[in-house]
Parts: sequence; structure tokens; C-alpha cells
Amino acid sequence: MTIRFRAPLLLIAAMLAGWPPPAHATRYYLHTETTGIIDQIATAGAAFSGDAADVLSRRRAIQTVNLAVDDMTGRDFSLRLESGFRYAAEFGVISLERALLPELQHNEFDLMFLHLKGEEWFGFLGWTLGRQIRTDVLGFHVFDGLTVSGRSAMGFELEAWSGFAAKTGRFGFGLGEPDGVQSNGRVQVTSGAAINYLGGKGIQVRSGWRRVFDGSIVEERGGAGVNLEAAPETLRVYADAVWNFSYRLMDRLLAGARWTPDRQWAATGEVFHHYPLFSADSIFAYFNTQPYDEARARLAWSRGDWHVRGGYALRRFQQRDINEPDLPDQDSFSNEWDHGLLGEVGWRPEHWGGSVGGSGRTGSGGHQRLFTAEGYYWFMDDWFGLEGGVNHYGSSRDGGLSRAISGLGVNLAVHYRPDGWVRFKVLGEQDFNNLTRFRTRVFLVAELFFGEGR
Amino acid sequence: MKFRTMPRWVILACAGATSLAAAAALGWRGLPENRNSPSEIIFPPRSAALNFSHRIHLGKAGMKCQDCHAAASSTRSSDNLIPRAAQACAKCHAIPAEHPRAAGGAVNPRECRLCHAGEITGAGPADTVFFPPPHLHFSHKLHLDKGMNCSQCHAGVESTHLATRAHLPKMTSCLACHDGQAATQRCTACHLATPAGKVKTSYPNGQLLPSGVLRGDAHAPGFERSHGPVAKTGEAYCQNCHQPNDCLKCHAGMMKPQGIHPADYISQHAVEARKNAMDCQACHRQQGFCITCHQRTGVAALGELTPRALKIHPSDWASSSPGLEKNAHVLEAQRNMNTCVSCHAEKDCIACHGGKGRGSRGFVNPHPAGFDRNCGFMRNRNQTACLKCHTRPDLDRLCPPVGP
Repeated sequence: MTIRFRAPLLLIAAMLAGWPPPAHATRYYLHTETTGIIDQIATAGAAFSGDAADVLSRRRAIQTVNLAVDDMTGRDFSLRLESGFRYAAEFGVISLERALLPELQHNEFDLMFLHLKGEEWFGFLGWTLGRQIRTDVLGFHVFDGLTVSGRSAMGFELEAWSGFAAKTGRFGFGLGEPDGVQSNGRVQVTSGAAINYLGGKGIQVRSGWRRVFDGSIVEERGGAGVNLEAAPETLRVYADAVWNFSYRLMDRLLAGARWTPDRQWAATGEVFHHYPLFSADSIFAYFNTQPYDEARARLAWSRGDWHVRGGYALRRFQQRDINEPDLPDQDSFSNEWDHGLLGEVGWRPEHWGGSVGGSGRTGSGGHQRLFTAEGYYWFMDDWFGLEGGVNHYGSSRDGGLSRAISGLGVNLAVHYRPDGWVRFKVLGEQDFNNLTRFRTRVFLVAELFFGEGR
Repeated sequence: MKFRTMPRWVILACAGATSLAAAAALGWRGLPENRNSPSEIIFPPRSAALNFSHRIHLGKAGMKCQDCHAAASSTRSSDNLIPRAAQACAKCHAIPAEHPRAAGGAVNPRECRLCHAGEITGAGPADTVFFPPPHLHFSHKLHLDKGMNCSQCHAGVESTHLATRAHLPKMTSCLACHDGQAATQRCTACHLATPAGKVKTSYPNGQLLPSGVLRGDAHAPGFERSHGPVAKTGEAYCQNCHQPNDCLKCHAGMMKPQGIHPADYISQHAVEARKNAMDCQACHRQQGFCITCHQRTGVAALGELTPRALKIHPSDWASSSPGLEKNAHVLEAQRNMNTCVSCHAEKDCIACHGGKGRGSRGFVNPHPAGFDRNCGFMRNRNQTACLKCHTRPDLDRLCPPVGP
């Protein structure tokens, strides 16, 4: 066991041992989920290379346990324990996978989160100690450490945290951290701070900064997000932006507005700027990559069981202009455009329904189209469910390969809950299309719930 | 800028979507729903088939709220404030202690209808007046002791006849005081809690969901794809109802969520991945998630180790010949490197782009023009990536360290 795993646990143990709460009834909640997944997937070998298709047999077993204990103080300020564990075993791993991606574990124990959480201590102080997940404008971040937050009289909440990044730690999982690099095994120290504004009616603001350090700076980003009610109950505007200190670039910028004149209509418009960057120890960010910009609009209507959705997106890429000569100090770029369109009509009464939809994209990235139709029916007091769908997907690109795939998928679901504390689910999926002969997937799930008021 | 002829199917799809939107806008527009009513989950549907005027009683009659709702000033419960006729009304109205029909007497409908509306079945008060308890912790006594008036929560009741749901408090009016300073902002101070300390959302009469008034977080269809702006500015707010595991079921999920990915999604996922790489990354770690399947099914061409590299890319996708026409992968990488990373590991790029002593197939400079002007700054912060492609002497020559 390494120091980066031991330290937070020791702190938790010391806290539990040295702090006697008054005698009182504590509430707890325990949820376990056992899942077995069976995959039989015929590869697309014949369609791509002329080789005979292989059948890939994949078997997985996943066990999750979540335990929460609430009201541990019996006083006005709260103390809560929250924990989540996951064990996943995969069978039939081929040695090639281990050779190419050594950090992939096929018998994997994940400590998803395990922390003590205090709220409203002395009326203004909150803290979290242990493995925790932080979600904000900077994305997901998982670490073992301590977060302290305090609320000021003017509605500002200050927050600071420090610890060891779970990605490279013991029992860590790389949640939402797609850096495209393999772990170098070094301990990563993470620290950050944020300020929230909670005092305004109809406005939420969060500004944060985060740095991950392993001897060199792996990641350093700062950002802010705002969610504002511009017109009471009808118009909301939101925006967030992230600055990457490593590359001195705007990593991401999103601004949007959502208009809901009533409970049936919703219109959304967004502009989005994204620079695909990775952590500072990844080579991918040093390539000649360019940002892209997107404007998108969506309109949704729903009434009763009906819903209609439509949307349009315009994306601008920048790419090297192959007609321009290379210059020593400056690349020449041209704007390339993609247009995307989607629409869907659905009808979803209580026990059965369906939808028909389509989307397409055309422009410099080639042409793609996707049409889907699906329906479902639940019967026997919603114990059994049947879902089916057909789809057609096609793509083509100037000078590139063209594909046309038409497929049919059928899902069968069985839910059985004989009592409030136990639930069983069986989900089966069978897909056929002209690219692969078949795909079969079966999910077997058993859930147990313990604790009062489940 | 280049313009291409738009395919016919795009034009047809545009026309179809426009027609659909127009039809929806012109023909199917429904009446706006009343937003002034509080949640029916918190205050379950009630019936009050009564003829009663608050306006007359509070106005002409000069009565006070507590004259009928006597328990209001002493109860710590949100329930049990509806007066029993025999206790409250009988102070002024001549109400028989026993129902006339039960007492064997004659029933005069005109007398009954002074207060009772609709058909008189004689089954008792529950038949005409039914007020199930609200799903809230609320102490009328505490609030009245702090000097609040009834009309601060039940606004407008003094000028109406029969009080309706519109005269019950909405959460926005509670939050005028419960702002975290004047009074606690903890949700479970008022809402019922689960054993895990979260807001209880499951009730016999339905699921308690946010209306969207507070943060634009109405859990309408599609919210599972659009909740980002709310979650990013208020993680703690979401956790009032959700446990961390609720997020991880999707964001670190191992089981396909049927609501997000329908049947045969595996055939469609390439479309989504190419247009919305950011959305995929919200739940899937690219290298760990994509590459295991891509490689096992032969979709990823990972160097010479791959036993059956399938023809995913066209010819000359990554040719050794110079010129962008023969190296279309350059354009794709410039557009969005995320799509490359879903199949390829760093070593695939290093094979051709690695510097002297690193790349096995020669050296093709992948850096943008003018990179040498900024590389010193980046090297100062972290030279790990540099040393994957360059030897240290090579790096010192090409990009010498700069001062602090």
C-alpha cells in the first residue's frame, strides 16, 4: 500500500476514533448491484478485409456496493459517510491487449468514492475527507484528500482542496480524464480552489482553478461558469470557459440560452469553441491541431405523450490549405464547414410507444446519414418489456471509403421486484446488420436495498 | 472556403424537418400550463367541495385566520390545520352535532348547500373535504413565532373565496428567507429525507422532480443529455437529491444505459463519435474504453502487433510520400485529434513523427509553424512529452530551455 492511499484512510480512522458523538439513532443505506454481461460479437472481418469473421466472446462480472451513513452527529450540523466500490472481472482477455495497453486491468477493483462529509459546521463550514469526485467547469476530477469550504455573509462560498490524484493512485479509475497517455506511475499531487456565488436570486457562478503536479506540471487549468435566469421562469443563459495554462490557450468556451415559454416548448441555442488538448505529458497536444467552432440550435415540443425534436448544427474547422505554399513561420489555414441536421418524433404513453428520427451531416468531413425507428411495449404490470428498432447508417467521403449499414436490434427486458428490498433485471439485446452477422448481449442484474425507507 | 453540392437526401431531410417544425408550431400549439401551482407531489391532490369565502370571513366578518385554523399557532406539523366543521364553523353557524340523515331527520338540501357544494351523499366530511398531509417538514408555530404573517406564504387568500392550490406556498417564496443566511438552505430542513440523507423523491403519488424554476434544471425528457450547465455550476446542489453513484452509473458506467444508447447502437456509434467526441468523453475514457473493443475486433491498427488490421482508412491515408493529398490523416488530426486517439496510442504516431533516435520510420515534423518559438515555455512546464519523441541532446539543440 502506498503512502498516497494510506494517508487519507489514516485521517478518517483517526477522526472516527477520536470523536465521540452523542448516543442517537443513525440512518444507513446500503445498495448492492451484481451484474453479469455476456457478449457474443461477430467481427466485421468479412466486410472489411475479406477474412472470415471471428466471433468475439466476452464475459464480464461487475459488483458494486454503495453504503451511506447519515446523521452521524445527532446535532444540527451534519456528518455523513458516503462510499462506493466496484469490482469488475473480465474473462477471455487476450495477451495482445496486455502488451499494447499494460495499464488496462481486467480484474479491477475501483474505490469509486469513500469520504466523510460535514455540512453546516458552525453554520458556515463544510468539508469532505477521503476519496471524492469533483465536478465543475474543469470536468471530472477524482482524488484522495481534503476539501474545505466556507460560506461568507455576502453569499460567496470559498472552496479549497488538496490531495493525490486517484488516476495514478491505488484503486484509481480514470473517470473522464481522456488524456490519451499511459500512466507513468508517478504520484500526482493535485490542488485547487474555487469560488461560488450563491447569494443572487436566479444566478449561480462558479470559478475554479486546478493544478496536477508530478514533478512537472501535468495539468493546470482555470475556468468559470455561470447559469443565469435572464427572464423569470422562461429564459436562462449559461456559459463556461476554461483556460489552459500549460498551452496558454482557451481550451473550451460554451455560451448558450434556453427559452421555455411554457412547459411544452423549449428552444436552445449554443455556440461552442473547443481546442482538443490533452494533459501536458501527452504528445497529442503538440501536434498541429486546430480548434473548431460550432453553433447549434434545438427546438423541442412535448405535450402529453408526444414529443418532437429538431436541431441544426454548423461546425467550422480550420485545416491546412493544401493550395497554399508552406511558409516558414506561419501555416496557412482555410475554413471548412460541416452542417448537421436532426429530427425526431415520438409518442410515449405509459406502457408503450415509439419514435422515428433521422440525422445527417454533410460538409468537409464527408457525408453521413442515420435513420432510426424504435418502439417498445411493457406488459404484465411492467415486468416484461420489449424494445425493437431498425436503423440505417451511411457514410461517404470524397476519395474515401463509403459504408452503408442497415440493421435491426431487439431488446428484451424483464424486471422483477418481489419485495421492496430486492430487484432482478434481465436485459437481452440481439442485433443484426449487413456488416456483421449478429451481436448478442445479455445483462443479468440483481440489486439489493437495505436501510429504512428504501 | 469550399462549397460542395449538397446531396439530395440532405435537402429532403431539411424540407421534412422544416415541415415538421412548422406543423408543430402552427397546428399543435397547446395551452400553456399553469406555472403558479405548487408541486402535486409535495401537496397531493385534494378535494374541497365547499362553498366558502375567505374574503367574506376575513373581510366583512372581521375574522382572523386563527379563528378557524386554531392549531396554526401551536402546531409543529405542516398538516392538521383544516378546521373541523363541528369545531370551527359551529361557532357561528347552526350546525347539528350529528348528520341529519344519520339522526333520522329530514335533509334540506338548501341548508346543506350553504357550505357543501355538489352532490350531498351523506357519507361524512371525508367525502367532500379531503386534504392529504403534505410531504414536508414544516412548523407553523416556528414561522409565526418569528413574526411571519399567514399571507406571506398564502398570498392572496384574503381576497379569494375558496382557497386553491395557487394559495399554497411555492419553493421560490420559501427561498426568499431560506437563503443560507437568514435561515438554513439545507433542502432536508423542509423536504423529507432518505436514509442516505438525500431529498426523498419517490412517493406513492409520483416522482418529485425539479420544475426548473430554480436553476433551469427541469428533469424533462432529454435532461440526461443537457444537464451539464447546471451540474458544472452547482455540483453540491445536484447532490441534495443524487448520490455520487447516480452520476457514476453513466459517467463511469460499465453497463449500457438503454435510455442513452438504443438497440444496435454499436452500428451507429461512429456517427456520434465523429460529431460529438466531447459528449462521448463525458462517460467513456477514450483509450481505456474504445481501444479494447476496437483492437479486439480488428478496427484499431496498432502497429505490427495487430494480427488482422482491417481496412478502415483509404489508401494513402498515411503515406510516406510527401503532400497532403497523400496524407489525408493530417486533416483529420487537425480537425479533431480525439477521433484519432480513440484507436491509436502514442507509439503509432511516434513511429513516423518521432525525432532522431525515436521514430522507427523516419522523421516527419508534426509541429505547427512557429512552434520553436513557444516550445521552451512548454518544456519548462513539462518536458515528459518532448522526451517521448526526442532524445535529450536532440531536444537541447532544437528547443533549448528558457529562463524562468
